[in-house]
Amino acid sequence: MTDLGIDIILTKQITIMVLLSFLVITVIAIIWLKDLFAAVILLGVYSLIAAAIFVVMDAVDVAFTEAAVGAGVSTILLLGALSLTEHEQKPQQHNNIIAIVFVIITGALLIYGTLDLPYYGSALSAANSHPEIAQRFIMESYDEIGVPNMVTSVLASYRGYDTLGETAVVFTAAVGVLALVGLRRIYRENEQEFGSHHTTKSTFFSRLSAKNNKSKHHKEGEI
Amino acid sequence: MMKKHKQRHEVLQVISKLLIPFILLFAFYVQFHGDYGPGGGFQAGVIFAAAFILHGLIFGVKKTRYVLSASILKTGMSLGVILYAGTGVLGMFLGGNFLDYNVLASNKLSGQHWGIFAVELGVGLTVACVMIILFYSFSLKPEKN
Repeated sequence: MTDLGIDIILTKQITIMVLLSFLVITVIAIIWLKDLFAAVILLGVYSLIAAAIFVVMDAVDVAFTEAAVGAGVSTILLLGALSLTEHEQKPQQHNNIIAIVFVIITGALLIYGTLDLPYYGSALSAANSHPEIAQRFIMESYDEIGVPNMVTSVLASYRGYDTLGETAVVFTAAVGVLALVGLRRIYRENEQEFGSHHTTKSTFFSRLSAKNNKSKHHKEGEI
Repeated sequence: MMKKHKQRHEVLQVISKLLIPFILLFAFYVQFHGDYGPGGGFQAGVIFAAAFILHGLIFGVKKTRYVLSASILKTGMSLGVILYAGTGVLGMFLGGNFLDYNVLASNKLSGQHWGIFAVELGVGLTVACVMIILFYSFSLKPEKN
């Protein structure tokens, strides 16, 4: 029984190491590439590999978020941002030795900081050495909250303040983008465009339907 | 020009028309099944937004904005935060602390259940609306004034 457990842990560790080395290769490729379009796609690949690592670590909820946000929506948003600018990185005009010195020092300090961290699954980690927190969630959250998924009960109930703050951050991000980039006003011209052809108000579902769309294309082609 | 555009994307248009309802359905599944499996408001909101982003990519953002206008999204993303904070304030009115769901119903467990339901719905609403509106603002070049 214990041998099997050790085997599983070893397999997991090796899988995580392989995936982490994929991550490093992807990052180096992103830094190396001058083509921003390829860099954005590689960022999506990066997120997908990160999601795979989270799955291996049994953090399915985090993996779900990483795959949906990192690999999905943020790639699309970055591609949209690229369409507003150029696809090629500008050639470097100036020498930036100071920048690389600072990056190397910061990176070295961060790696030095990780040396103090406990190993993956270690008994000395904060989650395992403070049983009154983690153990309590595992043992009593079902009786207290009544939700089988512990992540949901921690996220929405025990740590409700944090999630409220996160929601406010997402909201603030949208407000910031609307203030800086703004929305292009297309509604007025659209209304004229569609208003001349559609006397009846078309509903959400009729607009999704094939027939309606075909006729719209046809009419736009005529214009 | 429009005709060329249509010919190029005809297969994608048909396939995405088939896919969009199922993506929306999956988003609702992730939203309301988050208590029992992986998922929750954040993921569901992103998947819900992905359906509209797919529509925007295939049919053009102008058409998507005709289906789901930006003013609805602005209202929606505000409503989500209000729903979340309002659930907390409701708990205060019913005699508990801020974001204390125990007092929301006669039974503690069902109070927690309703509280988490409302809060996750608020998160999902905000995230979905924010993602779609970000896609809108990045997908079309802003007007030059």
